[in-house]
Amino acid sequence: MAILEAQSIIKQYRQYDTVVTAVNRASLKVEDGEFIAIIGSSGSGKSTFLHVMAGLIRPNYGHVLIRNNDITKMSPDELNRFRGQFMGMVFQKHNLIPQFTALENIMIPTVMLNKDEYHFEEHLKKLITTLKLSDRLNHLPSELSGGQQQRVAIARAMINRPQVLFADEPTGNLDRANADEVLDLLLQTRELIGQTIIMVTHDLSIAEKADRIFRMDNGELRLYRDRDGRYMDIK
Amino acid sequence: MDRLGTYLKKNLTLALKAVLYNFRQYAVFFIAIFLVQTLLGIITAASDNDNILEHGYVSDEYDYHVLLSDLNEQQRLTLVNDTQTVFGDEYIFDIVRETARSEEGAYDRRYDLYISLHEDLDTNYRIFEARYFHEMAALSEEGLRVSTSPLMHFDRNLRANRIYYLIFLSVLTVVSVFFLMSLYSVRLNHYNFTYGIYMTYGADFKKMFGTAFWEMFVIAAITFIPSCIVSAVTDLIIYVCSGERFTWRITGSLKVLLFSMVIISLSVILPMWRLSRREPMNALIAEDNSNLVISPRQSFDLSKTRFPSGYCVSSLWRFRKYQIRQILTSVIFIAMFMSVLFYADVCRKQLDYDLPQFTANFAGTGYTYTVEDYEYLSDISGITALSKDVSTRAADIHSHAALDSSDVKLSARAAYLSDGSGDRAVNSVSYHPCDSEILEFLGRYSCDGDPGKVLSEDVNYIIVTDGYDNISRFRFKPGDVIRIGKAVRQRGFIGDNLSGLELLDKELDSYYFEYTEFTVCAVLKDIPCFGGAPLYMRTDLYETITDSQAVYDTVDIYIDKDSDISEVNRIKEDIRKWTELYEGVSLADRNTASEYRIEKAKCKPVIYTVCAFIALVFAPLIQIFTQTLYYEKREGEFDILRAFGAVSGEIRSIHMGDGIFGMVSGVILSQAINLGAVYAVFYFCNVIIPKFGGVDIRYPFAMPIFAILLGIAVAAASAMISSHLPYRSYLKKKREDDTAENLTSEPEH
Ligand SMILES: Nc1ncnc2c1ncn2[C@@H]1O[C@H](COP(=O)(O)OP(=O)(O)OP(=O)(O)O)[C@@H](O)[C@H]1O
Ligand SMILES: [Mg+2]
Repeated sequence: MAILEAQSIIKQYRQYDTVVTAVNRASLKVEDGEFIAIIGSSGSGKSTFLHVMAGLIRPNYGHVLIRNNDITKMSPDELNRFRGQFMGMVFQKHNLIPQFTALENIMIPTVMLNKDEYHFEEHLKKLITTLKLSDRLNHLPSELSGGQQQRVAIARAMINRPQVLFADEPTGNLDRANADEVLDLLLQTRELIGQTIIMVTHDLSIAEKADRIFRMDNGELRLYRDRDGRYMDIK
Repeated sequence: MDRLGTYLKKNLTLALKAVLYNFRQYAVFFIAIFLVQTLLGIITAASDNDNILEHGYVSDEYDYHVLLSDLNEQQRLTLVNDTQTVFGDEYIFDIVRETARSEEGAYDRRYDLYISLHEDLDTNYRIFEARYFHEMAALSEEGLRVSTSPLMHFDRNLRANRIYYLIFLSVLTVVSVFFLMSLYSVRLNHYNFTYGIYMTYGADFKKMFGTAFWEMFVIAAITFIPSCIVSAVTDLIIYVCSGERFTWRITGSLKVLLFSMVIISLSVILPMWRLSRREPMNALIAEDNSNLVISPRQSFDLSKTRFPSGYCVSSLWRFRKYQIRQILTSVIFIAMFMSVLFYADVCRKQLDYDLPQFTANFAGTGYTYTVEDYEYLSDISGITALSKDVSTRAADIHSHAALDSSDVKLSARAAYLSDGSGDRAVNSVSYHPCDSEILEFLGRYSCDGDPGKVLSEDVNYIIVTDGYDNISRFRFKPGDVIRIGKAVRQRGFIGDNLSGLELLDKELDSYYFEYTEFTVCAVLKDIPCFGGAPLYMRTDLYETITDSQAVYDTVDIYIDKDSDISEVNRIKEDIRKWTELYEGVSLADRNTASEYRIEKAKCKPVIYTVCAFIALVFAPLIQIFTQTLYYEKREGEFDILRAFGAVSGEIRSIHMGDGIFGMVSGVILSQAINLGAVYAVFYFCNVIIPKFGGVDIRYPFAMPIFAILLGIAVAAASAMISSHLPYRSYLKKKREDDTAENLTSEPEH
């Protein structure tokens, strides 16, 4: 069953007299537990597409269905709650709250979920050890290195064990070894809870680990490599 | 119940922590909510105290509810006999006192009976009325003269006081909500990014509103007690200084607590709602001031702008909407200050204004009020003025006044005369006869010229008023000539249901007029003139123009407002001796002196003045808060400028440039808005209140110069301070950064 289905998404930015078509009729169907990578050149619309799928911006046209719920039809409140429960998001820019410590930043989603019976201590411990954050938990984002900030952002996205994880270049600021470790962590949780991952990346060696790879060109999305490892012809 | 307990405890502790840990961030809300609660407290405690005072005065001065006057023997006995036959709970009244007039045994001996009703006044009054009024009225040709005392009306007065309080409370609520909402929107704008993150990870409106509400609740709870104390002490000082008692009631404070809850919820709900409707991404990318930059955007050719002056101008332009909005928000409170101050002055003038204590009415008796009566009444000690009046409205007799067009202001309803004179016709005037007695009474109004000339036999002089509906509309000067047109012959059809200018236009076409020329000898400036401008002329001229007799049916009797109740009663008795000379003349007591005492005790002018000054504090508070957050977000920009060679003096110039812009536009805007706001209050008091049956008083449209200067000073100062303080704090931060760098680099040496 498809856990996520994006149907001919169009997103345009209008500014006075210029129109930028960031995403142009992009469609994507993702199976439950699948790992999708999206590659493409800078400014091709990858982040915009990811944000639309995560309901962070509304498309001008098209629908996004997550577990058969059309999130483009939800009210802002429904959408935010739905996202809080089922989706995780790692931004391209780490987007940490500057006044909050690393630990506080990680815990934000649990506060929003507001469920007392929800136990995350075990999970949290595992996340921070794997992400090598144990001795940086009480630092403010401005006191962390770029890579550390990115790792905090990843922990924040994963703390609620979301069904669908959207990640916009999560390993962009990390060196090879760290990037691989973070990827391993993602794949482990995926094993554990059957998480679906949709990741934008520049790193081809990481993209190779995905089930399928898509490529964004000027807002248009095309399959680049299918499940069986076959590469498509792209003009 | 248990769950509610844990829910409250959890939310309150969270909110308390948030508020105390980030005290600097919330400090402005502590001050703001404290001020709002203090205002609420002052108004509420004063209103409670007013009711207590009013009750005290009324029950001190009156011991009866109903006064039946001029009863004949039979009427009197109807009541007296009934008090002697007691039948249980039907016993609903006592006769407090009875006064008899004329000789004992005289055949037309008359009595006044003062009746006090038992508990449950309204019901008992109705029973009393049903049981006796009809029966007693039948026993005399003159019927029955009933009047009720303020003690009877006390409930009604309390209701009126409560409505007055509610109106003031509503105004206050609107102002406070606007104030706190502006502050909260500024705060939300500053923490846009944080809320974007919350929304990304699942926060909905309920969650965000809940958090915000509990935070504000905690602040309101903390400021509550201090605000109670400050407001109670303020009221105490105000009342005690004017020699009144002040009683504080706990219920008043509970009202304040309740209302401050309503106010904070209202002020948080809207900004939060708007925020929660936004796309999270939209909130996220606005982490700098970029959301304050408006479209259409145009890149400045920065290479051609001079630094820092041109740069400062370009930033002002970039953030023009923000700048205007923040100045406007702050300036609105200066206007609030002005208009409340103006209203306080209105209350003061209303208090000083003389109203008649008694009115004697000759209508239907066959007698009229004459010079002899004037002489008789003037001899009674304690009577300060007598006012007789009769008038005819121009519109009622198809008449109008023709004025030189230069005498007519734009605000006057005036038609054009087609006789080639270029004069304008006005029918919003009323004609009054004038004699020495009326002239004496007119002396209380301020005027230009010599009113005495109006009595001259050789020349037709006239005393005019410079406006109608209590607003100045004419530019009369002594010596101007006006003509009064009297309709002499109809020449065309005139429809029904016309009034005002339409009627006048039609009349000018449908009648021939005969004009009488008058020379203005005096211009009245502050005479109440709702409904038409009074014009005073010699009695014979009045009678010719209006085709009616100048007959005076009523006379208003003024006494010294400070007279105590026994003095009032003494004067009343003296006047009664005069009314007895005429059969059927009635005397109405308007209880003006008591009402004056009660109104004076309420100290409204001082209380409103204090409120005005508190509202004035809102202006700089909101501006400083807004600007602090705005500049905090521009610090990154200043860092970059410094990194590329700008020195702190230049950064300072950018701030000062903004400050000067804010100062100039703030002063200009505030003067414009002040004018509008004060005019609105002026119009309300001068026109709307009389229109709905309130006292007709003409208040001048003027503000004391000190208030205007203060308004300007506050507008200017808060603009300068609000851009200077952020610079100081930026500078301090940079210095700290520098020292921190020095410290870390030291060990290397
Ligand atoms: N808020 C916005 N308003 C206007 N245009 C925007 C906005 N956000 C993005 N764009 C435009 O949309 C296009 C796609 O942007 P997007 O961020 O999706 O690119 P990307 O593929 O993620 O690039 P990169 O690899 O550099 O991150 C760009 O041309 C950008 O200028
Ligand atoms: Mg991107």
